[in-house]
Amino acid sequence: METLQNLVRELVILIILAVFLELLLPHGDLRRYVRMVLGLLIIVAVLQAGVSFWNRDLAVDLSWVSLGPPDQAATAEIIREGERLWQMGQARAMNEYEEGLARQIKALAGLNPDLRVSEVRVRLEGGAEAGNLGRLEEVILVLDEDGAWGGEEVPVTGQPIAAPDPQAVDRLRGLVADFYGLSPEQVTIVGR
Amino acid sequence: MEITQIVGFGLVAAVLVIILRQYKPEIALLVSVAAGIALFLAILGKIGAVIEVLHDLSRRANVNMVYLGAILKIVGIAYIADFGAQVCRDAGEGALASKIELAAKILILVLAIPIVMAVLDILMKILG
Repeated sequence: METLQNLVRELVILIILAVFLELLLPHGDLRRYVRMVLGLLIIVAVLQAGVSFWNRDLAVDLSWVSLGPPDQAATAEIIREGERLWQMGQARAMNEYEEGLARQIKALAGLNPDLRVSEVRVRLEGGAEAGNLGRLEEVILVLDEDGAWGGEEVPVTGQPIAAPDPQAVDRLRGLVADFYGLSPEQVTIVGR
Repeated sequence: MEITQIVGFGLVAAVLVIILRQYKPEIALLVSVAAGIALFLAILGKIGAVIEVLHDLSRRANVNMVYLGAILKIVGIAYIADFGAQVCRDAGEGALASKIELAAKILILVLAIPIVMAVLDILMKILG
């Protein structure tokens, strides 16, 4: 019941946010485009809320089936098991978040015609300080071997290198850094 | 009241631009641009409070801040492009205004790519 209450509360706040953002939109021809992106954001938020509600609901059902009535002797064991599961879940969530973020950055970097990015690695803040967990710390873009350096052989493996075309590298670095609110030093571009 | 000052400034600038357009059209265009920028700067301080409210609502609705940042950038791009296109149209350069709008549309779609990827990710998770 509480999860349902949380879901409804999140949706209400989301609707208020959408109405507020809608008021900010310009009047011209570009309004349709901004509304489309705004609609996508709302879809993401609603789906996220729905998926998390469904997962939580399922977890509650399973707990009733598997745990049964509370047992004093097994309580400590259950708590330990719960903490272990929580840590596993957190690690898995961080991994999934990293993978999703890497996919997004790769799609964004794919718009640059000069450099082909074959792989994206992200490093997230792992500390438990409030508000810092999951914050993007570093983005590493691994360039494709063929064509990334104008067809020449890639000189260095896995190390930051001076690119033959620094302007293209700077543009790519600036694009990623600007979008994710990072400093350019946090975006590393390496050869495969 | 700030609104009276803003409206007064806008009316004075409009009259000035109308008079200047008859004798010096190129100066009239510059005055129009300067007045637009001045009006924008006058309300810039108030936008911070609105952004703060939006951040707060996003936090409560569990919306990722990266997506909200993208939306705000898109709104900014739309306003700046709209402003530039209007100035170009005032100067009789309709073709240039269309190019500015086209550039803005492409930039908006570029910024929307991560959000589209997020929608696809969630749909794949639900379906798979």
